Amino acid sequence: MRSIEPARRSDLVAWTALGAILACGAARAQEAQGFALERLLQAAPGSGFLAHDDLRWPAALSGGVSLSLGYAHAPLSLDDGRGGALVVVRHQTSADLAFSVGWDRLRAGLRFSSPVYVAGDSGLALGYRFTAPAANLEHNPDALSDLALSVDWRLLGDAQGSVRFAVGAIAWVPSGERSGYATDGSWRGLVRLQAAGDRGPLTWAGYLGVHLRPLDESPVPGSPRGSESVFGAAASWRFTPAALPAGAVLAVGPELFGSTAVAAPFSSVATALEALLAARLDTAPYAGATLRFKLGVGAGLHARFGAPAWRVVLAVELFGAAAGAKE
Amino acid sequence: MGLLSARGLHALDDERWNAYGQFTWISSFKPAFAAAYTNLNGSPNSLSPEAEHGFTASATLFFGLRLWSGGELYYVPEAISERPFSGLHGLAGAIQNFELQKTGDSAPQVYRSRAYLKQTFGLGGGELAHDSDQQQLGGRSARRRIVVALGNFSILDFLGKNAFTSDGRRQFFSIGFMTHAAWDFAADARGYAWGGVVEVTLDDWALRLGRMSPPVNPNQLPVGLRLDRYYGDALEVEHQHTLFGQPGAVRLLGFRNREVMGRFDDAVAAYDRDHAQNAAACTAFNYGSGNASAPDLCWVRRPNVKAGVGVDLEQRLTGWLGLFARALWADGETEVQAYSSTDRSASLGLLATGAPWGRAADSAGLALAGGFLSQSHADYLARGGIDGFIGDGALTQAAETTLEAFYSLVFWQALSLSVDYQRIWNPAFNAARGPLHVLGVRFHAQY
Repeated sequence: MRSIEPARRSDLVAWTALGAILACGAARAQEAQGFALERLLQAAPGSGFLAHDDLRWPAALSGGVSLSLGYAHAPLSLDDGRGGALVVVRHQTSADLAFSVGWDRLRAGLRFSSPVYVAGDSGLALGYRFTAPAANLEHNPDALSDLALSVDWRLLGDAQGSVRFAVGAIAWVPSGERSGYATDGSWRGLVRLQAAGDRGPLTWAGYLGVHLRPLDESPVPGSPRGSESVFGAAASWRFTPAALPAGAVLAVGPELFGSTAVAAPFSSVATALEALLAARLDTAPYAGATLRFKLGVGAGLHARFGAPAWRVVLAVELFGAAAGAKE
Repeated sequence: MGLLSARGLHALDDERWNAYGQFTWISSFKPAFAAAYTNLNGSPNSLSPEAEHGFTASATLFFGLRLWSGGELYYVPEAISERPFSGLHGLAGAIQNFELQKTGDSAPQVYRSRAYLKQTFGLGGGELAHDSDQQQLGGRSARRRIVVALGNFSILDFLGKNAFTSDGRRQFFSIGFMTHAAWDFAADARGYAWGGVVEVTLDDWALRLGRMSPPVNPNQLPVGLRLDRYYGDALEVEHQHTLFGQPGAVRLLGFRNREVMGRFDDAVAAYDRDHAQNAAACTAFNYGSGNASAPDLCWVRRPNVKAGVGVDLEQRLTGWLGLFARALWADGETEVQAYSSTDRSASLGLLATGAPWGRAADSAGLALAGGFLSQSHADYLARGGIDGFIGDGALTQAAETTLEAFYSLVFWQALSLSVDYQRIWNPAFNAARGPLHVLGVRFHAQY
């Protein structure tokens, strides 16, 4: 039988003790649960922005539909307390289908979001055990994340006015699995004031509101801490380059948006801030409908609390007034 | 959509989009019935002989959008809340309510039932008008055409349909009448799948071919998307005819599934070779049997093939009365993957409108369905084995038979209230149990 040298024996004892301590720690670690991670509030179909609303739906009965595909990289990356990072959600890909109906000063919207591929790493962070999501079309062939029902009421200004103000609300109906970082498992709501306007080729928009969120999982790192303040501002410039087909319009501009927990406003761990450079291309209206393509590429300016390291969003929209409608 | 059209805001006969919805609530009551035994020796899949109440409530939105000439996109989110009898155990093709899903719960579950692209290629032969409806944009297409559908849907959206018996929200309640009970079509636990269907229509003839994704484990939600390895294929040939001045159709259906599933005779042989391979000992995917003296499919799951052929007839007899008949034979060598535990099925029925008594929108139906087991399936059940739905621990083999009668009162075209009676003999093919009565009520609204 081979003997173990004293020096190696002491190493072995030390490693065994460390292993036992880590194992005990792991065994004591509380299990962190998933939540609705997505921070991008996509605008209703027909809006000139990706994450903001230009409030330009026509006064006549109108409607829109959009299909979007979004990818966010590392939207949930946590300090693991050992000098490293645990990327619980490394890839978050989702497909959204959204509808909107506008009439006069009111517009209602409905958005369905399906997780396409959500994956990351499991592990310990600051004493909590995180389990990586594993959502894809095979394991979750028909999953829907929280359903978003929205209503906006344009209080001031009309579609073509230079300044427009609106109040809006979103209600999220819980759907999907918390383990997939698709839902809080409870109803959520958002109310916000929105403003938008035009000045020549420039369109601007902004909002300020409250995300009413019952889920408070503090002090679990990265997790919701109850209701949040949400804010955003955007601008775009319209161009009509000669290379575009007649009637087509191109618009490019930045969008900045974020959220911060009401309980810990603008604290480092409970604030998300990100920016998108967004472009949209409108084709010439055909039979009263406009086909619009949108592309946004952005990064987390403060990549915490759900803001990803970077993201890409692609959307296709079709919108217009109902047949026979008169402005 | 009709409201918008009436105000000149929508063209029903040339739609670029449409949106419909439905809500259906079905309540079922089963009085206590006689049973010589229940869940014998730890087999857990008997229908409870106690009185039970079950229900489903489903709500669905149907969105359609014309993308380009002949190209249509359909998106159908759905929510369901349910409570089945006995955890959806103890009945095969006689499950009394077609809406019941294997993963359902009384807490509402929201999911996307369908998201698919449909492309129509015209081949001439004149024009055919399509009414605006759920999953159908109003418009015109060529009489001769090829339709290709790709995406997430149920193969029953295209194949296995019968005008007099496929619509469980307005016609018969039992799953035995929704399609062939013995057609174990590839689908997830809710009845939907990913895949494609090609439909070729040439005047009175139609040919439909589909390949859909099967579940990874039998009767579960995750599906396998490697459609070159595992799949459910189906081929249907339809001929529409006129008999004594009344329209009708005959359809032949063949299916072949290649899926990971257990063969009944393999399970029995594995147990006979080594009693340690019993139903109580398996740790791989299984249905939770505690019967240590029974074989179990979980020991023998591997890629296997299931196949079957069937015939379907619909015939209008008068302006207000229609007849349907169906029969399907499947090999019955492998376990149920998606639909029902039935290996061979036959059904016959009549559907009438209320025109003779002055309520033309009402409907009434009377039908009989029989389900049968293969010998290897019967031997497996007799030894105490279970599958996804049935297994009493023993078996006195007999045909599982359902007699169903219903009447639907329709109000303002959009609302209906139905009463239903079902008599089920030999639940789970077992003459030692039953028969039982099932009383049902259905409220359905759609726009």
